[in-house]
Amino acid sequence: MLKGVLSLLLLSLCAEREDYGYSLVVRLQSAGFDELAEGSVYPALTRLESRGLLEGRLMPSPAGPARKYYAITPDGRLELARTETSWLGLVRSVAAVLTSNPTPQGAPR
Amino acid sequence: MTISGPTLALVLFLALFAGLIALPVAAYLVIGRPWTLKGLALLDRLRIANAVCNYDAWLSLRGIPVQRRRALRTELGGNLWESARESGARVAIQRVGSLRMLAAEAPATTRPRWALGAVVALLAFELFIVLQLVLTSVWLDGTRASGATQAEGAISIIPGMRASMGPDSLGMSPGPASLVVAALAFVLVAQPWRAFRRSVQHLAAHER
Repeated sequence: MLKGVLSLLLLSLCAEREDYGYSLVVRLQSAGFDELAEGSVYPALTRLESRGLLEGRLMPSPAGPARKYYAITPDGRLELARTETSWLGLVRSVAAVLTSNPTPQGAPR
Repeated sequence: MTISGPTLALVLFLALFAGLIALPVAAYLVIGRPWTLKGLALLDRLRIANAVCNYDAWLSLRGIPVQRRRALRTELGGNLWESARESGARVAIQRVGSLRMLAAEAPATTRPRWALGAVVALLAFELFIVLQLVLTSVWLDGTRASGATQAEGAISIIPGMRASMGPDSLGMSPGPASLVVAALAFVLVAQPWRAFRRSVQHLAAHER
């Protein structure tokens, strides 16, 4: 996954609703990121929290151990808006290049 | 300080038992908290508790403060528990990947590692006492082989250490060396100068 995209995705999911690590992994996997490793999501959440973009709080669970829920902060929303704009700009630029130089069918890539 | 033979043996046994068996088991239970992992098979609970303990050990080696470590391992335990309910603990742990790498990703801190320093100092102290006991035993064998029934002497390889032997008793005076070794291990592992480095970083951050 491209650098920074995971942070963008996590900020976006947490902006939608407060959630905990494993649930975020499941949401990302069901969105199509099947190969996403949990070992990359958990540290990314910690980094976002330490940068003040997410706010975590432990909530006791009656069924098992406590869960740490992450919510987006005002700084996180600003960062989300900024990275979303950058990402959409990148997608448009890449699409423009691909559509202007389409790869011919059967040609070696 | 002079300790008689049977008392010394008992103290050593208790210290070794505490250091090598009881402490790790207690740490495993306190850190891994397998009883909180409800709804899982016993083996799965133990696997997750073991993974959480390993993760905590790696965090500890990085000097992450106790409170922060507790939060991180609670979070990992909760996530592993959720994942293990669907696919079993073995798969859940595999999906997380290397726990060492996971710990390495935790935001770095430069606080002194007091807890780790204390554990290593205790182990160093125990190992050094065992070494002194072995040296005393060697000295005793040598003295008995010479035909003496009563003797007292210094173990010159360790400054301040003395041993004595009577017809029915054996004595060892360990001297200050074991405490010096423990203190040295504590300082080297805890790295108290990290606190100074941290305050310098804080000052630099404030100045910016």
